[in-house]
Amino acid sequence: MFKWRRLFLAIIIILLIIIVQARNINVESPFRGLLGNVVNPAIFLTNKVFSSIGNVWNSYVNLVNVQQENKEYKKLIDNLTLENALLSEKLSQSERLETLLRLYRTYDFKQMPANVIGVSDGYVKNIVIDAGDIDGVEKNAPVIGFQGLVGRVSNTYATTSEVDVILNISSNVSVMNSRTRVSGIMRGDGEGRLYVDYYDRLDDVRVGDVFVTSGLGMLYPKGIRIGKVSDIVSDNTGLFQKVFIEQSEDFYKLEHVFVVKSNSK
Amino acid sequence: MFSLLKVIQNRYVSIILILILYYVLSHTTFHFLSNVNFSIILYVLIASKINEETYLPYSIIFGLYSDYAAGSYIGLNVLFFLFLSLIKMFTEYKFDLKTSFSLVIFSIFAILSYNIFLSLILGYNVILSLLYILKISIIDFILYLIIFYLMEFRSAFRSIKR
Repeated sequence: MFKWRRLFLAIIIILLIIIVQARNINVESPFRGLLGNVVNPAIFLTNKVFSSIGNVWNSYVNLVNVQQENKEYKKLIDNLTLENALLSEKLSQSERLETLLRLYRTYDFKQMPANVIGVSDGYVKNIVIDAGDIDGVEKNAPVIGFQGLVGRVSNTYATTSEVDVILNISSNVSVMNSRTRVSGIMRGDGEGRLYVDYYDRLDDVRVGDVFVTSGLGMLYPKGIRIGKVSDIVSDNTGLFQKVFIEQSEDFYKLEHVFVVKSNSK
Repeated sequence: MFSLLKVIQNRYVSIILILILYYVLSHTTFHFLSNVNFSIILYVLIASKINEETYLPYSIIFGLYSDYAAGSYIGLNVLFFLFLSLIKMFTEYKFDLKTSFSLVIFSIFAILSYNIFLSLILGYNVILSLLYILKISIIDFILYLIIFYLMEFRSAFRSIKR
């Protein structure tokens, strides 16, 4: 005999939990915090382990190739390769830091650097960064990269945070055409592309125009670059046209980002 | 040590560990895994084990994981998995659904409805995103079939050995 009472009790408890969450948007679910604080450090460690394994594997492959070379030059080549790799790494690190510094000076709001430790590309497109509550990261804080806007902080944990990237369908960023100053609402189409909706079909827009954040909506600061117009779709009927944007930032190759801090902090 | 092994061998604990491992891997080196909804695949794979005693813990485990991964309100996916479990149990009673074929039919329904439900929770326009949802559902279903038949082969070899 099926125990209906048990099922109804479970459904009532779950509904109560959902109602409590819906009525208190700022209250974080204890379960989410508990799991996030366990899973995100695991992501960080796994990332480290896999990159170490990758480095070891690459070193091994390099070694096998070098062994086929003349034995006399082997040591020299090894040393030079190692030195070269170290210098290249230093050079690329220096270039990255230079770009970071330039970006840091470009915007007149407070920023905090963070490293990307995890990336997800499913229904929910997000990244995990190594800065959290302890570092002063706040929910909904905008996150920017070298090339432009990345997204906003969706969840914070003790030492890590999740960032919903602007590719998400529900991202809704207020943007404007930097040439004509006409604004619209931008979001992801769920398939990895960005488009601007509610862009009046009579307003001028051309392929190659640059879109930046408009500052409307109070979430993202004004003037952060989004990307260039790649395609314009306009129906014969309707008031608006769809403007597709090729994003400046490749969200899946991000290494460093900035979390924008509120001015009161 | 043995008690720890016993805990890990517990089916609920092992499912939780598998889901967490999958989440961690999909967020690190194996990004392609995040294109697959592993929770629903694992759920339909163990669908034959769902009965009056187990449906509640399974629904809670898979539902909470899906809620966490989707960043939605905790509990929404638990309700969805409860709904799936009830459908599975009652169709089993009424139509004697115990064959592999019927499980595959159930899995198609479960995967498609899960993807539609998830897209609704996340604010996707289901009509406009139908092709995308279908694409993801087909990928999920193919992966399910591969794992399902691998498991069937494995059990067949085991019985031959015996």
